[in-house]
Amino acid sequence: MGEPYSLLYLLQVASSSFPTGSFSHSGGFETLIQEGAIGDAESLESAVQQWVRYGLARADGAAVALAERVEVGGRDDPEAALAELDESLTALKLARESREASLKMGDAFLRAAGDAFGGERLAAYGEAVRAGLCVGHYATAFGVAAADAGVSVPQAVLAFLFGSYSNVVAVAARLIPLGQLDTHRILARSRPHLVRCARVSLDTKLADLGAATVCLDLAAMRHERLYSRLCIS
Amino acid sequence: MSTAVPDPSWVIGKHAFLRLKVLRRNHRTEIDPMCRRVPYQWQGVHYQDHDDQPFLLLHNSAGGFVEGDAAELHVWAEPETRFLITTTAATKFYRCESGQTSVDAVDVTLGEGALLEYLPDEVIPYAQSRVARATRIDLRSSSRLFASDLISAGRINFREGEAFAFAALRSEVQVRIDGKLAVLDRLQVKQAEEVAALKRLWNGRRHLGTVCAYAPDLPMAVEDKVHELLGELEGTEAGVTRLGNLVVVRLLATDVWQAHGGIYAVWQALRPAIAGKPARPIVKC
Repeated sequence: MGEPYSLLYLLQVASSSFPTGSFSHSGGFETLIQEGAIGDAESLESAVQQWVRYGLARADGAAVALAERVEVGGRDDPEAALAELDESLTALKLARESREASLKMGDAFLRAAGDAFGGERLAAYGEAVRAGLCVGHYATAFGVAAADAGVSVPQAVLAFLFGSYSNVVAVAARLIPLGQLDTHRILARSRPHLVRCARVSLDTKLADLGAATVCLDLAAMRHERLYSRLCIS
Repeated sequence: MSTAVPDPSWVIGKHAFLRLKVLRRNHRTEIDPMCRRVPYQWQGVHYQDHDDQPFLLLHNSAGGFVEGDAAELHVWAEPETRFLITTTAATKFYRCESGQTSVDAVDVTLGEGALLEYLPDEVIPYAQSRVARATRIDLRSSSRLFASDLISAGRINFREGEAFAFAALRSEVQVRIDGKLAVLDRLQVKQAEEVAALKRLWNGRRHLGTVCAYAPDLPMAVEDKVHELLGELEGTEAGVTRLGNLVVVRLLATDVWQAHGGIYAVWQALRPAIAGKPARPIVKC
């Protein structure tokens, strides 16, 4: 697939309209908004930037790169490598809702991307998930599908980070609430930050996957007990 | 007890080593030191609950880690044993001026039906320290675990500029159940920008506590009790979640005594379900 096709592919799968259910997951941000820690565009932008840099980039963003490299690197046993990656991602997500969100979105992505684009690698990964050999995290599935689509690893990671970032901003904008222009100003300003975060993802090895976003861990845990809530996580 | 010889390829420093075997003997659990190297000391165990469960006060007589120091603790627990490990004091990591790292590794393997309660004091990475620490606990699905981990932001009460001033910190806790990774709590900061960000990521608080607790028969809704107790604490914000029969707690505290209080509150809530008895203050002298 040529470069224009790669761009179109990424625009489609990283869009909030791609049916992964991402619009119903806040990743703990709903708690922070309800508790008043985030209440305007400025505080939202700061919090989401921290989340991507110190949480997503070294965990799920890195997993996208690792999964795609497993597929394009000619490994003898990609299934085992993806299973190990999935196991690490599960264990890294300390809050129940965060684990479940990643798996639900992974399941939805596998079905939607498989249906829309096909792809042998994604089909094989889907089989491994159904057989219980892998668990099917969203980031892993995204990386495997990117390999099928012939997208470069840096572009796949950047698209994943932007898709995740824009989704959380959109979800939070509904909850605060913020206007569309506020949202798009935040997204436009995020570009240099996301490029830096993508470099972190690309440089992260399996043995270095991790996260430092403790305040979001707490928020995701407390989300389980919010009295009223609009998001699943 | 034999003496372990240091690996000659290691960086110059003190390399503490302790290998322990935990076994059932004389109608109670006993701990045998199999191999040791100073500055880890062996001073026996206490039976502070006045039952069959020994309490081990892990004693590293170096008093802290200087550049190039390492400590390794390896514990193998036979089936149906139960024991508690704590430290005699906080684990301190001093400044590393030549860019070398101080290393602290704890590795515990539990047999079928064994219980580990692991409650070390806080870890204090001083300004300019470079720290690598890893705690790995392997359980069987029939084992029981209460493990806490507490990291302070530095020697914060000594003077200004000591909090969040370490040069690098890699800290990880891994819990495996039947060989499968269940918890991977890996915090890694190695640039000044990343260290500075921790202050924000910890919501301006200076102590991070984490608890992992597991039992094959953990009662329904026991995490709600934890949540209730944590909500009563001052100077602390916390969250609790349940993943099957595993409960994970995160807490951030302003002062270290508040963090200890938070961990103790979690122990109070969970110890009856995990060890079948109430929590009790651990005597350290």
